Amino acid sequence: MKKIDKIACYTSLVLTVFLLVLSLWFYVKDLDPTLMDQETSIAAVAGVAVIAWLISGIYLLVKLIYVQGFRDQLFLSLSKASERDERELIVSGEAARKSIVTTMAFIFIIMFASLVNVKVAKKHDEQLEKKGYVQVGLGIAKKDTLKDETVLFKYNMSEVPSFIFVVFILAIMLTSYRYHFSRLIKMDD
Amino acid sequence: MTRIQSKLDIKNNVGILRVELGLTQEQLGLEVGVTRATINALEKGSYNPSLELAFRLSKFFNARIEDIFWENTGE
Repeated sequence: MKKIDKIACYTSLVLTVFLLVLSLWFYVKDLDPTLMDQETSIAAVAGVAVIAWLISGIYLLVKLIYVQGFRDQLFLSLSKASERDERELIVSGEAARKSIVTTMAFIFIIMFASLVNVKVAKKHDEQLEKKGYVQVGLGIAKKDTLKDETVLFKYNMSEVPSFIFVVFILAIMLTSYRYHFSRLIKMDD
Repeated sequence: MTRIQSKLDIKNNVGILRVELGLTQEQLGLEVGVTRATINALEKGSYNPSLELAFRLSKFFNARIEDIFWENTGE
């Protein structure tokens, strides 16, 4: 991997963590007025960080799309697998195939889980015979917005941030690849 | 390896030739440019080498490819 690629990778990684921590800090700050005086300097740092993050992100994105060697290297280093000879190249290809199937299975599970929503609510009207209800529906249906009820439990996957899904799918893909690779390699050792 | 389904049952005497030369799997691997694990897989018959590796082994052992690798027809 070239030096500039390494710098871009580390910059992107460090700044992603930094910006996540900063987002959390801003979130906490909104709840705590005593931290308000630090807002200006933090915002300036955040601005520079975002610009650097965007530049490194765009650079990595372009390289990932157009340079196959970089893509392979990054994936191999992330999964901590090696392709030292022809057999390991074949094994890594097979592991990649198995990994795609495993990841697809998880994506299907997520897809079905995201379709369903569950709500357990209690109605305030004392005169009603049934004071509570359990609602199971499809995520694509129109959401209920009743005012005279207290929601005791609610499950709706669409409320989970998309970032969590991306990280989850990436983790599944890398873990699965690593698992299949080491399993196939061990079969011959 | 079960990865690539081969219809041919290829046998080899890489292990015998290696021992005759008094080499370890690691040493043979270094000579032909593969890892010890690949030599081990070859000797166990769980991996069929590429044509390139077969030629390199043939050159190293100074033997014809068909003298190192052959099809087991069960006869």
